[in-house]
Amino acid sequence: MKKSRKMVYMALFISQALVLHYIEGFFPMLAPGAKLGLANILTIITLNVFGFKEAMTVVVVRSILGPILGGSPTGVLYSLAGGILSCIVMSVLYCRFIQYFSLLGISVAGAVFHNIGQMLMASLLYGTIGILYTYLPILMLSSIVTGNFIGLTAKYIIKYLNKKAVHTHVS
Amino acid sequence: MKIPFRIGDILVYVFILLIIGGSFAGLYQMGRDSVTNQVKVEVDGVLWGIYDIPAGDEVKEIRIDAGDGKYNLMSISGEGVSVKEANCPDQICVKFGKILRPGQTIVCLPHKVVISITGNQEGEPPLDDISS
Repeated sequence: MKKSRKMVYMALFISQALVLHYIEGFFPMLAPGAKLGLANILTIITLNVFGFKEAMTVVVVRSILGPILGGSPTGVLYSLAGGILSCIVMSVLYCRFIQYFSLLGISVAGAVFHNIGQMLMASLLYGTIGILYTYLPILMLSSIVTGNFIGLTAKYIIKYLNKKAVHTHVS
Repeated sequence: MKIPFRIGDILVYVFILLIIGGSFAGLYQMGRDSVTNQVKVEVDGVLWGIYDIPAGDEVKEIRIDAGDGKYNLMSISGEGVSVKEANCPDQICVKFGKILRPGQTIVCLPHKVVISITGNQEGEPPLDDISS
């Protein structure tokens, strides 16, 4: 694949992730911190089309730019912690153990570790471990629902991308 | 199209259940840790003093002066807080016995003395003989 073509795809993925990150702020959620994680769709797609390194690039750029565009620069740390942790977990599952996991399972694992990363960062910043115990159960339940939803969406997008043969351009 | 549900997905859900269980265990542990508390004494609605509960066998005795020669002799130890002696007419505060948990109170109505245990909010509470 040509370098310029790859760059265009990466730019598209990152900007789509950013827009989804911004849009999901409009959805009211059960608890503060519990989010749909729409941008995670793009992480999974990048993982599918390119690989670990590119997915990590999308996550890092999205995590830094997303909160700044959304108007809350303090969210960068939470986003980074959650995004990097969930990206590493999803990459390991996707690249090494894909025969044991469905895309939905990988997506749920990503959502779970995103929340864990965020909560670890929060407890680090506030200096208490108690916030972890009270919040994690709610976030875990919400990430089961959102993770399955995101996984399903990513699954159909990947199917469509395969039909359109993006991969032939890529490889 | 049927969604394949693979063996690894079950692992993910087991992991989630473990985390939920772990956080509840952690919450329970925290609730037990906060047994180390402070004793708050109020006389006629005014804060009279706040004391730490000492660890170990040490016993602190504090004389609460409620004015007009009325007094309550409070004893604080790691086992609890009690009123050892008082010159109030009904002696209910003396007979009340020991209190230790947050929220428990000893009230001496004739002297308008309220002794209550409050949770130590800031910082990690030190370990006591129950949780260590």
